[in-house]
Amino acid sequence: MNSMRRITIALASIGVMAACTDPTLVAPLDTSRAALFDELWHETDLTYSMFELKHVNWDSIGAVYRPRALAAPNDAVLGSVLGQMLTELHDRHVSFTAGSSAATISYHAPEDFAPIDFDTNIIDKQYVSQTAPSTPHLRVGWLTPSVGYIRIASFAGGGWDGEMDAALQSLEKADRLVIDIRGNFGGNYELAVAVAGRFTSAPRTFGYARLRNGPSHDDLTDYIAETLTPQGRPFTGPVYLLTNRRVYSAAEDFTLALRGLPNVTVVGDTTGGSSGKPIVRELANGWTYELSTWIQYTPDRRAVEDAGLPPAVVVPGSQPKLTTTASNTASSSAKRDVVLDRVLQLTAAPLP
Amino acid sequence: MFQKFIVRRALILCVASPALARAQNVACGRGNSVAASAGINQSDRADASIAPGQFQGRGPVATLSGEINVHRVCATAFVTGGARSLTPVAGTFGHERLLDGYADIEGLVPVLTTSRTMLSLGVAAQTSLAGTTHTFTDPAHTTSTFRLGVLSLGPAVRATYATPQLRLSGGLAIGAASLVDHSYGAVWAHNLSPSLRFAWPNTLRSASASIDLEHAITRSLSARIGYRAYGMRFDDARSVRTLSQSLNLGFSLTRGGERR
Repeated sequence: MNSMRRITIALASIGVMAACTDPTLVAPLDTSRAALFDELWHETDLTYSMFELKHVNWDSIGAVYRPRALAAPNDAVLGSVLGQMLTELHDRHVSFTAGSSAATISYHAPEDFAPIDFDTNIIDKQYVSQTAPSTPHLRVGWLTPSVGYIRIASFAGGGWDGEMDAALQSLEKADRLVIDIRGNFGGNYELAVAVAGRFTSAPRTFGYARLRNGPSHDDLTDYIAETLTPQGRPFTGPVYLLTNRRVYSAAEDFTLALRGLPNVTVVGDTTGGSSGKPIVRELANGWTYELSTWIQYTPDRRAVEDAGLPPAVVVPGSQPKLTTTASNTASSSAKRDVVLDRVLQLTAAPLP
Repeated sequence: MFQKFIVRRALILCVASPALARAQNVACGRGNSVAASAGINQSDRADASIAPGQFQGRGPVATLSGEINVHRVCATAFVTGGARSLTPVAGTFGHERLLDGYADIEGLVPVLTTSRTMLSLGVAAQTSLAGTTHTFTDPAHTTSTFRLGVLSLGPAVRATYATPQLRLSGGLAIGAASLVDHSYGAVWAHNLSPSLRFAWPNTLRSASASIDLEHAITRSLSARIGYRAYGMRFDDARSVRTLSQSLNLGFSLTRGGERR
């Protein structure tokens, strides 16, 4: 009996001791400048999905930036160098944040800073009557007694796609709808596709995606279908979707999901062409960065990245003003929304 | 006092010896049995798909196991699982929530038997499944989910020492050939289906070791304490190292009361 107790106690002790040890599974973390640079470069090399698409020579970029990183006199400069290296990917979904108190460094194309004619104050004052109640994420109203208007400023957050049901309910007497997503920078992919599901009565493939799945730059999955499924009580009448160059990411997913529907006409300007599906990564010192992990394609398998999604009806004057001329300042000085003016012309036509 | 002790032990042995001899002739060394236990688990994980550091956490774990005599083979099954929070061992990373499970099935044949000891050899199929939700340290505290599944086949060995009151057993199973599903990046809605690959010991090594002690309470019921460790090393494009240790307390029930 005593021997049994001894064995039991010994076994329990071994188990407790073993369970309390801290086994070392990986080499100790190195937070030197060289180690942080190499970790960032290597992880980007393994993760980023668009090296081939964007014709990026990542080896060369690494060779240029590594000496700069090693020579950085302090963490602030090092963070800036690492962030600048990632901007060489020319991808708005790629960013770098050197600690919780630091500003995020990300890429911006020249046209991102160009003025663009889109002013919600003008729309709300001159075009939209407020006879329909808006929801927390949607601006809802009427353009004419038969044309409803819904503006989606962002797809941030999640779980509010049901607000579109409420908006459609309040506009149930509308013959046609205008969905305005100009200036929508994106947000939640699943939310955007769920909202888009309110405008189709049948499932359909609206695009494809290929995810990075291996260490080589061209290691990508096969084309994975992106599917739109009906949600709520779909509105299947004529829909005019308004887009411009400031439509990015999840808002482009929304555009991609709708533009193939027979009842949807996209009006305005081409979307921004930023579709990366980013993932967050961490360095050993707590700095974080984001990298695109997929390439998104249209149903005819053209990449959305950089190219954007062109509208069916291009509206002159809705493009970014890269240079200032007398003609492209005319609409703003007149305080008119040229895209809505064009849509009102389109909606004046008899219903098909 | 000492004489009394000797006489009592002799009587116990006289009564038990025929049963012992009979039982050692069956593959498991006793009748069919089932055991349930609960305890604490410690998980150590370093999955480069998630973060470049090691994470560790402890939490409750539940375990079920059983043994069946099938002719000359002792078929054993073991399943355990639990959920726990993991924190980085070093470095400034986010935190993780791990949901994992482990199961194995072994077929063992006795190769060396004495009145109290048994050595068995056989094959083991080990399955390890883990889903990790990682919360990053970015300003938005973004979360991503990662997946790791391994099915390994390989040799197994078990040694048992049994007395009428006590049964001590230790086992070792090694993965020789594996089927692995290791998410290269985060799991999205678009890549939910597993991406299975074969892996040989040059890239994936796994092993489990266990030691269990049972003490008879009644003719068919025993209290048990067990320690089990499962380790895996996968040298993928993004390497994985895991070590899972559990300490369990529970009971086992042996059918028919034919013990050891």
